[in-house]
Amino acid sequence: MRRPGFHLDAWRFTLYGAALIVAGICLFPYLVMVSTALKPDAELAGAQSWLPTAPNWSIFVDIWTDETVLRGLRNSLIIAFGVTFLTLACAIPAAYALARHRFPLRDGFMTVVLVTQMLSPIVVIVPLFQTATDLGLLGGFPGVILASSAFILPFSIWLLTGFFSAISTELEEAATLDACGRLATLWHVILPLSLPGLAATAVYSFLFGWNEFVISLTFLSAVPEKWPVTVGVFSSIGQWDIGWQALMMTALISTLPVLLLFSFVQKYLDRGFATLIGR
Amino acid sequence: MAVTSVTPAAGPRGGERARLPDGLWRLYAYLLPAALLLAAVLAIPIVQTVWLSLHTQEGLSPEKTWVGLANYRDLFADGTFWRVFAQTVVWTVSVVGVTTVAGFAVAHVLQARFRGRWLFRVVLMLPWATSLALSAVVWRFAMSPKGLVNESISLLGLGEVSVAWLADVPQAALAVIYVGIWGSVPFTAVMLVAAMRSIPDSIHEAAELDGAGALARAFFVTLPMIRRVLLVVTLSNFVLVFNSFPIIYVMTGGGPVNKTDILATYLYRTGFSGDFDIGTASAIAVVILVLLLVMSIVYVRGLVNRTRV
Repeated sequence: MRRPGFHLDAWRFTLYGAALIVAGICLFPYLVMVSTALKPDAELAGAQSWLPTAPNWSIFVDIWTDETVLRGLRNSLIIAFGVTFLTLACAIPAAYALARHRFPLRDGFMTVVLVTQMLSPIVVIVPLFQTATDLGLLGGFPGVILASSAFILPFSIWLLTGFFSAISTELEEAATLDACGRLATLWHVILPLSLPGLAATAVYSFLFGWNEFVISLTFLSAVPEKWPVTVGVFSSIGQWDIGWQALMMTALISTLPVLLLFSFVQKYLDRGFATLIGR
Repeated sequence: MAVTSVTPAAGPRGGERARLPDGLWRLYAYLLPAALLLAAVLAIPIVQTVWLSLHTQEGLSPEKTWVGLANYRDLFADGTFWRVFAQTVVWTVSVVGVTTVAGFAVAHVLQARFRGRWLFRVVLMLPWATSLALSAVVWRFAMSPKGLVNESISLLGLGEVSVAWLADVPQAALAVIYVGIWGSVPFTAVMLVAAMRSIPDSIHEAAELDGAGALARAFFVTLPMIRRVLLVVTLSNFVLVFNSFPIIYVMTGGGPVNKTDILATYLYRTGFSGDFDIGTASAIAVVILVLLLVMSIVYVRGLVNRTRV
């Protein structure tokens, strides 16, 4: 089966054919983004074709001077970093305790974590909106970050617990004997050894914050200057002053960090998935 | 790393774990931040939802009037609710069903060794990694009558079409279901391929020696071996898709006239547009919660009892 080199037999042919079709389906919206971003207004008015006849390449430069777009990207970054930080700050100690110790309520907590993974923001968005209003958290980033983090936290705890459990306890015991406190042990021994797990968890929470939609849509609807890209692009549909070209370009730009992060941590993510589905 | 030297004589052995009462408090302190956040954003709001569903509230004013189960009575007497309920079932079952089959097929492509596999992986993960809210905007644009979806259909030689994909059912329902599948196949395929890699090569080789072709091996060797993961992935897809909000909200807004609404989008539009009917929106949320509870019992039975972390 695994012959070295390149053979274009029937099986290979089917394989490449299937890969190409799947890739084409996956890429479709991204091709739409590029094609549309490059078109002058006139070519968007009638029936559209894939190739712009007079491509407007300057959009690649002009978009970076569009203040609305830059503000949206900045807002998305703030939310994504906030979510990453808060999630890790809550998940690391919790996962450490769950991975290393048996104690009353441990299994109960694990089950709660697993079940809360099934909740989506939409189910509790009404009371969240009211609570945020009461606490004065409406229209600001802290409210969005707090609420969003809770939805990626269960998954992060689950993922990190798996990674922490995989680290030998001997190193830790050595550290304890060396008179390291628990917190110091966690910081100096466990965290450096579980960098892949931390990277995977950080990427997941970053992506979650970067892509979050419904909480920002609800909490920030009255303050357009704080809209992240997701809400901004959605809310601009049908607005006469913002062209489709800029929208598509913004959507394209906002997939870039995702793609970069993803390429960097691909192999860690594999291990993350493997942890998730059990051993 | 700070810790390198081991001094075996330091302190009484086993002290750390034996000192339970003191250590226990510290352990709970480790769990506290996570527990607080989950309580504030998930647990308490769930209780609030039930509370709100038993009241009526005039628009955005904080005045609440106790109405008992009236919101539920009105909801269950409303034909629109039941139609949306049926649409939720159709949406969830068709997206998850096709995703499972397609994910299994794509996992085989992903597992094969070929040139450019790295690139294929990255391309495959794009739909999963992009915000559904953004890709839904792009799909919505591409599905306009003069858009690139119709253009591609004619390029493929399937005839000149100018379908207004999102203007009426059934094509609007098909369109959102297609995008739902597009968004959930990648993750499914990656999870399945992770499970497939854990099957020892020798099993496949043995089956091959016995004369089993590729298709036979996929169904009679791979499928049974990854059955558990397949179950877990399908169940979590079920929950994800059932809860899915952005695709439908962005592409059709549930329209035309609720015909593509699912419970999630119906809830949102009931609570946050029109007359801001908080009571009814909360009652819908409780219905969703009850359904999720049923699903999570299935899920926990399927997952927790078999894999312990």
